[in-house]
Amino acid sequence: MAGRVHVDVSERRLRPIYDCLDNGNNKEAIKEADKVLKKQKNFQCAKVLKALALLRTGKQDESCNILKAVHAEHPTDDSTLQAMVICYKEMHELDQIATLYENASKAQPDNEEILSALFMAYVRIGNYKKQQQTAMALHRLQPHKNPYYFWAVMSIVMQAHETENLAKTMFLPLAERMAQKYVKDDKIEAEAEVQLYLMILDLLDKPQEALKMVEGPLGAKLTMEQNLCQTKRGELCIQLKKWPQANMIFRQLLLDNPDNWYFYSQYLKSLFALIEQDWSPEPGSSEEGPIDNTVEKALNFISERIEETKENQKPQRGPYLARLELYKLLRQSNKPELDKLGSAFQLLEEYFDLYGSKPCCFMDLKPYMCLLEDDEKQKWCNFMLEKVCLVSGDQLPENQKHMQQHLNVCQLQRHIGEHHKTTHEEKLLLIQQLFKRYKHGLQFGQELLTTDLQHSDNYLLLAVHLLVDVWRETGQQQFLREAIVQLEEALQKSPSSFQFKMALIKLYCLLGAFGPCPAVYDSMDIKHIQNDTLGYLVSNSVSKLGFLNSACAMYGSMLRFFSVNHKDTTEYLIQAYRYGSFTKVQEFVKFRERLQQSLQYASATEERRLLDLTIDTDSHSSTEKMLGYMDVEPDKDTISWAKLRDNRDLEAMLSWDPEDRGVNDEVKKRSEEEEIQWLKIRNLTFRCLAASVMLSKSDSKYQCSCNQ
Amino acid sequence: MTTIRLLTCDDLFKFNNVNLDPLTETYGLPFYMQYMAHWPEYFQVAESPNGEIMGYIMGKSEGRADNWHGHVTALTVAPEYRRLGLAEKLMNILEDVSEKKMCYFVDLFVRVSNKVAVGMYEKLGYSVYRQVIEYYSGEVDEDAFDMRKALSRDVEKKSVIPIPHPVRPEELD
Repeated sequence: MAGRVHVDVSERRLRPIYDCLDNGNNKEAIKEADKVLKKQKNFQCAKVLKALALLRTGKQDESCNILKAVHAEHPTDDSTLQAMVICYKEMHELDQIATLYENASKAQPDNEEILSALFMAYVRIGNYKKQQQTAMALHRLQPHKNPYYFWAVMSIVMQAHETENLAKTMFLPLAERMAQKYVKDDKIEAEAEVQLYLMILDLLDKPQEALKMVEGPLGAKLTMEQNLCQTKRGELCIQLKKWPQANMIFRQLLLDNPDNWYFYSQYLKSLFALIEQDWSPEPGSSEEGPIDNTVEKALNFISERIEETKENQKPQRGPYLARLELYKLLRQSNKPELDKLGSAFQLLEEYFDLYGSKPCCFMDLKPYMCLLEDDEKQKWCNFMLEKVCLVSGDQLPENQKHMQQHLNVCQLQRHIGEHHKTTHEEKLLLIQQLFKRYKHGLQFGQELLTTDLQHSDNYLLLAVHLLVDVWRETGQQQFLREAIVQLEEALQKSPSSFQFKMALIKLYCLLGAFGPCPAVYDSMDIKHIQNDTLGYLVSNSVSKLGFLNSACAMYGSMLRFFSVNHKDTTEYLIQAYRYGSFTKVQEFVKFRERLQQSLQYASATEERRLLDLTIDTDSHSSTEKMLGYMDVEPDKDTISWAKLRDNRDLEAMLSWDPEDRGVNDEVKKRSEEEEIQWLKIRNLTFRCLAASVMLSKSDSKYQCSCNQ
Repeated sequence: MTTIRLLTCDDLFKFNNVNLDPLTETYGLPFYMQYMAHWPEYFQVAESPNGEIMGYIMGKSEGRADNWHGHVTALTVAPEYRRLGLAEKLMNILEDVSEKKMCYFVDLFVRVSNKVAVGMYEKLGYSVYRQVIEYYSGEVDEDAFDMRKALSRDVEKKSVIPIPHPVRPEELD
């Protein structure tokens, strides 16, 4: 009773301080805190709140002193602890949060709340070993609460992630045993626990055990994700080369999901394995369902799915594409049954008849154009154009769908290399036709909102790509300028076309004219993670072209993204534990690593340091000062070169180029290598500059600041 | 032709063809991670055979007692994959998860001007529950429709009886 009254009084006294802090009125908060401390000298929470207010007004030292003093008192009171956590988070002193709760927990070893906060504190700093110990302490305290036990198991899995050489010999087997124990004792409660066990078995490469579990009663707990249990079962059968079962399972799944590409790909994989093994069912054997072990059966199955979707109002693309995929696989393995499917020409034609008026048709057919011989490809395209009566430049489409059919063929023509065979005079002719078709197509989009894209935009982009081709062949810049003029004009009609904008930035940079780029870039509203994936659009050119102020701003916002996120994202690791989303824990850790090791991050850091040296210094002494702030040691290489990750989304820009000319894996690899080399030059340049400045130390004062 | 699966962090590196659309917001990482950590099964992506992201749905379940419901936070499909029934497929998944979680209804907010989306949701069985004044802020603020669809647990379909007068965003529960 007395305790309760005390708490109420304390709460009432603290309220005004909290209110001031919440309203951002830090100076007032300090005053309020002083008032309370006058009455109650040793009121820990009031002290900490004062420290928080001081911190927020920039009085770091004063704030630190208070915190240190309270820290040493080993506080255990919840509101004091929470306020200290906020301080330490704002100071990015995450280690302190851990020691804070370590002390509190020593004072009150049976306090579940403190122990659980200690666990979270270890999650923040990624101390997996201590996470495990703390979770076990929680488990001993509350043996009936499953989550604590599985926090410990997950913490062991993370130790395996951290210490690869001990993963398979020590950590994972331990995690497995712990999970197994709960299975044996029939203590598994949640789907998350089953998922975690599956994850461990997967890391240990034990598909046999995993399959046994999925097929047993625990498999029934996998319910939240549609078809998860059966999909897992099928995947494990594939891993174990249990082809008949795998085939049966994915066949079954396709009956309910006839548009699911993943299921088709696994179904076909098992089919070909069965054919390879010449497998046939034992007479009288009772399987759960039919198994397709011959091309004929598979073809029947896919044809049935096609018939089935025809009855629906909206035919699904899945079965049709599955048939093309089957054809492709039969071709690759030289199977005589190929003839049973008809000719590739017809199959592609049939697909085009159905989906030629959809924009996705190009993407759908792209992987299957290779089924045609080289001369056939061209013939096929021409045949389709004849079919839709849009062969010559004078024949114009009647409506949007009609136009889309033509557009799809145009894109496929570029993809099969038609454009690249032509002379540049022929290209210029084609470009004029495409411009004409683009303008004509605008009439089909008069009703569109400014947030929509014009249906005929891709004609214009095709023409732009051709203009770039001509520029490459002739070296004449007028073609780039022509492309820019057309794009700028088209942007008026499709103001939100990010494809136009990306193309414009690229072209302006090719011309060495960075001036218009920032506005275009800004209008794309690139933010957050796009700084990493799309920042390259501008970052490669902005400082090379001498736009140093723009460069400062652009690198600045990129760097802000990386540093802020590294701090912010730890809280979600904690949430993943709290909600039992164990599969996300490792995913988040890897995600954070991928961002920290981003090539874009490293480049922006280097560029920004060079810029700071260039822009913000006007004398030798100011340069020395600047280097002092930067805390540079020129002889130390701080970049982990081998770990750098190229997160650029190089496929964001549309391209219909043939496989060997487009952004393929080889091109990406070469580009990444170039970027790394460039980063090396920039890194060494900076370190050389820094070293030479340091060699010429002008006064002892600098030496002093340098040593600090 | 689609593979539908849970969205993972790696997808955030390649969702630009979807997210550069002006009506699709790119959020800070904490926002996505919160959903992934708390409601992973409500965050699903549709992927094309070549691995391109065609669209995704992001949602959650929240509310107390008979207000326990599924909510669509974001639903988006890349321009070239529209009109293929993809949004419907993704909505079905979200409704399915909400059924499993014993929700009473599913709700979502949509711009009043976005006639295409409103029409699509109506086709999927959603109806306007109320109008929210100036829910979307921007150069010009815009109202939202709060649309709902009752799930099987709401036998009498009480959750979708419309509120005739518009409400302000701060009145939302």
